[in-house]
Amino acid sequence: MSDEQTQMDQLLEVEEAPLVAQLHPMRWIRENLFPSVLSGILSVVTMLAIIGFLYGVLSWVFAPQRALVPEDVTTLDAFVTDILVDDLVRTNRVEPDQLLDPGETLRLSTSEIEWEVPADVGSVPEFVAYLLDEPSADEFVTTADDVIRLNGLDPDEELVPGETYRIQGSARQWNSISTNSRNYFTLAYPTEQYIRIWISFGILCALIGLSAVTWSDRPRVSGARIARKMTVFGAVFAGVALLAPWSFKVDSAFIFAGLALSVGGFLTRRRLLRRDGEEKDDLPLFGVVAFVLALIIGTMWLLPMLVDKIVIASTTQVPLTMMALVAVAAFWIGKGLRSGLMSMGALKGILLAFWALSMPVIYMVILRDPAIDLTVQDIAIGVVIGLIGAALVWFMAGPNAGELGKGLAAILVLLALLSWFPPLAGVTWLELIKTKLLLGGLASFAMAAATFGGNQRARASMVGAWLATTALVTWFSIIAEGGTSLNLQSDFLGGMVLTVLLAFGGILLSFPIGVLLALGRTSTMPLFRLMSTAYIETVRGVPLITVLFFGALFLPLFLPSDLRIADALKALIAITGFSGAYLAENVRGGLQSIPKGQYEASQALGMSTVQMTLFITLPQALRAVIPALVGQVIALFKDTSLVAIVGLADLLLVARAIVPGQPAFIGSQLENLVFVALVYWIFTFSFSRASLRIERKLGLGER
Amino acid sequence: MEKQPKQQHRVPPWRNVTFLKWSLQILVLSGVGLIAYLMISQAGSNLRAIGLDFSFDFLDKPVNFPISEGITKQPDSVFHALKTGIINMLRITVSGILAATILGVMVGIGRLSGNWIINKVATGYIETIRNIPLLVQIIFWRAFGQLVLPALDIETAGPISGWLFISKKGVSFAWLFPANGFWQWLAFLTLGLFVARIAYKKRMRLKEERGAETYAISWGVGAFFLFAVVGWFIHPVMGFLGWLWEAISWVFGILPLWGMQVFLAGLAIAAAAWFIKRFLDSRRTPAGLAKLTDDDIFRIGFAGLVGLGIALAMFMLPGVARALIDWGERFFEFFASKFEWLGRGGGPLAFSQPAVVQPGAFSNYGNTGLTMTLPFFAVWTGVTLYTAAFIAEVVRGGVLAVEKGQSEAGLAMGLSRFQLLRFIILPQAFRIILPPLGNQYLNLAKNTSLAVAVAYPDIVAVGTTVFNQTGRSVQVILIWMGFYLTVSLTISAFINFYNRRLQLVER
Repeated sequence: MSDEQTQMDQLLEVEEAPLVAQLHPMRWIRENLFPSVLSGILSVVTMLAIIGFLYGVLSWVFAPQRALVPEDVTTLDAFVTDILVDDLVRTNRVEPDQLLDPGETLRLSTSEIEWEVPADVGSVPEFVAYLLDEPSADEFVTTADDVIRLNGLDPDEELVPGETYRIQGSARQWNSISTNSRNYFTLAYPTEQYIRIWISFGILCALIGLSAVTWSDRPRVSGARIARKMTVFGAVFAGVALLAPWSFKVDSAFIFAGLALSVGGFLTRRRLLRRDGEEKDDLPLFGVVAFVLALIIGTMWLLPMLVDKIVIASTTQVPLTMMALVAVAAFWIGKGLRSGLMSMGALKGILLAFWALSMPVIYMVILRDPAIDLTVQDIAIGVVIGLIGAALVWFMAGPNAGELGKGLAAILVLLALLSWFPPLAGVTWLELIKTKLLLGGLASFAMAAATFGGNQRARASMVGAWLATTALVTWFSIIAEGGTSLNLQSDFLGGMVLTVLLAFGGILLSFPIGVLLALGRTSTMPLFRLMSTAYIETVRGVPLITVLFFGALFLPLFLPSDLRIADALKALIAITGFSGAYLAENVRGGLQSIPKGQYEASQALGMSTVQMTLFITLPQALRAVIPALVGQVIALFKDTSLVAIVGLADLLLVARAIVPGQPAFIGSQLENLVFVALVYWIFTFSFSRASLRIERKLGLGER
Repeated sequence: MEKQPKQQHRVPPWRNVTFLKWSLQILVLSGVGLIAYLMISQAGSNLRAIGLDFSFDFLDKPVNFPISEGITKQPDSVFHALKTGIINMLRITVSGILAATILGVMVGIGRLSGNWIINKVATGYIETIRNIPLLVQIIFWRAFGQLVLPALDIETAGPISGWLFISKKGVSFAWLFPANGFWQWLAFLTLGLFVARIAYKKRMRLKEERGAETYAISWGVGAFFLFAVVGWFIHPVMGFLGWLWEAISWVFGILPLWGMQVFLAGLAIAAAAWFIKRFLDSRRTPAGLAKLTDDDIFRIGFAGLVGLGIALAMFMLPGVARALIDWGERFFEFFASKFEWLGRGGGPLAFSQPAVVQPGAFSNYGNTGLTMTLPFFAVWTGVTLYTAAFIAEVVRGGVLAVEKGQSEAGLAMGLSRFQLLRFIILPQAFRIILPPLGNQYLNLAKNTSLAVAVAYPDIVAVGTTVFNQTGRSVQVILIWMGFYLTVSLTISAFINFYNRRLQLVER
């Protein structure tokens, strides 16, 4: 959906105001806010509109809780008791006149803490009297003093029945989000197996850390730029605190903090600009990232120690700290590897393989914990096809294979195709899906042999790759057929993990499809062109939701009735097919941007079409469309939210149906939607910023 | 080396590139065909096992589910229900495209503004909206309407009583509706458009001849308004067109089936022939026709086959021609019913103010004014805001992509800022903007399908109800895909048409 997003970004360089103007605030304001009378009026009106808008949003976000005074209540104490009884009844689903068992635990809607019912307390009103005296509940209950303070009443003033008064707590159910943080993260995954989730994320963090090494030699950011961001952020923060309906103490603390940040940022920036005369890229990017990570982790540990009210569970603190450490450690290990042991090319190759493997490994092995059921037949098929294949590949990759090799390759391709024919399937071992997959793999190796083969080293690495493929295919087919040793529902994925896996898996799987389709569409072979064009245009012409319904309702029809696939997998297949068509158009753009000379030169060197495509044109095309590909990743990430419509419990469905469906949080839909919108926004916004950086680094769009 | 090959010009098939290419293609095609065949036969047997089939005759079957809004609330057949869904989808698409274009252009200009605060507001809008999934936004607006907007109360309804009501039940505002004389007035407007065009061209030619200002635009606009104003009063005169429509409808009525079939088949063959001729022309060089490659021959053959195939299909499936005849007859009959000599009474447009009524326990919007229900409001707001953010970026990109030298040259020639914008920048920017703008329109049309999430009865939502009730999921999904493909192809055909007219003629 955002094909143009990044292309547009790259066309547009933000014009910076002259530095002199930036150093003198008054002059800057005159030039940028009041350049003419009309423009000045517009500025003022817009500013007032923004303040009004912010005020509306903030008074919704921080709306205080209000309570209605019942008809028969006039005293403050009776009102306070009434509120607390109501709260306990609602939050704990007890009856007002129910007898409580000693030892039972009850909680208030305003906190996570559970209080045990003491031995001498029998009913809910008695428990309320106990809570009002309990020091640990002091922060969370509305006392008579609170009502006086919050409403500005006289201590001996009588309450008016039928009126509403402010009480402690928020009218918005923001605590529905923190209470459901686990649901947002994984939904139904067994709690005792949570370590698996963290290992999966650890793998991703490690891969990200390692990949950061290959990004560039020394990516840098400008300190002056960060200081400018701090100035603006601090000012906005102070403005928000000014408008928010908080107590004077909190308000002034936040305003002070915001202003301090803003002034600090401004002074730092001025100093840096005076010294350098311009914005200089003087800070290492990864250093800044590590610093921010450390800041977040540090806050997470320190805040609960400093402020009593804030509680962060150690099951959140420890794994998140570990994740950050893993990412940083992986970065340093990668750096060490690169400086000592490995060339950049080798590191990139290994990383590529790791990234490609990470998705199936995480999904099939780590999260699902397969119950492996090894049979002799499985091993035998793997070993026999593997060894015969190895010999064939060794021969076909040789320099003297010639026509015989090509003939052999043709026979293998035919065999691989024929293995799918029903009439040939009299032999039981040929019927197995793993045999068919192995034969298909062998056929593709046979076709690639002439291109990648050559000297002894190339032959050896081809054979190695084939053996690795055999092992992987056998292994995965075994664990795919086996069950799981965990107590999981068929769709054990949900929440954030599902969203990330769908986006990540979708882009990984659709990449080869997209490249193939693009090659097909630009091919000189008309039948391939026809098929690719028909596929691409059909898929691009229909909305994703119909493709998802297609996956959910059609796919099971097309498969043998005894084969069941998980709903998440159906959605993944649909998303892959959809995204492949869009990726193909991006890659096609890259292929068409390559000068004709490149084709002619490679033909003049005697390259075959396959060699020309793989070694000359495709790499250049892919490099040229990196921004468009990142745009596609962003679009795909946003599009995963559509799986909520076909009933998959992704981030959106948790916010939309699962949390507001809990009895304690009925009516909290808007709060939860705002929260997931923020989560999506943070992801996509950082992606698009990263993409801008990559573009600038590649120097695309500057030629 | 030592032995000369006997037949130098005969290449063995396994070395013949053309042969290898085609055998590979045919191999892959038959592979794909085989997989498709296996899957379809599997699907057929799976469907038979649960007692269903691939036929579409369920479309005529009666249904008993209500539709919350649209041309009907109680559809009498599946087809009728889907038609309601289609019209609901088109309502959002057309109004959304209009609103998103206006908002998008405004935000795009704001993004280019030198005023810092306007610039930042536009940037903030774009960065917020386009980084949040549209579905989240649509569901948000729905929840916002339900939880934040006030309940509809007959006394306190507002904010501007009689002109604009906003409540949990949606938004209702004053609007101009077509009245009895509308179609006759529309005929005047169409005529005015033609006259305006002729006037504009004439004045422009005069300007080129004389070199003096001839106020061509004012002439054009003036002519149009003259027709609009005069037509407002004398529109009943146009009633004579009713006889014309009736005559055309009558011709459709007496047209034999074979006549239509022959006409359509001829059209298909003519189109194919035209394509082949154009293709051959493009391969013609001053030295004569270039040698055709196997690819070229395939293209020609394929075009011919498709043309012949469609022509044959017209005779194999007489339903198409029949439907076209019926449709043409009814279409012009409908037109004829809107025209009557000396008018059907009443002006072209009627003004209508919204009202709140209380038929039962709950107050409701009356059937006056234009009312957006809450689901419509959610989907429309969602797609409009979302698409506008992308359109704004398209507009900004287009304007900035016009080379700096162009505006410098314009200023050097002494053009005013308005003239610079009007004659130098906008025409060039528009050429760049148009293709991505069309893409955004396409996206908007496709994105309306998310309406199913907030129970707005568009074609997808109605379709899900249909297949939940009848089990015909395969057919419903095919209908969806066919419909959206038609819409997409129509929009891209429009955009391509304008794009070709605007393209620079390269020499």
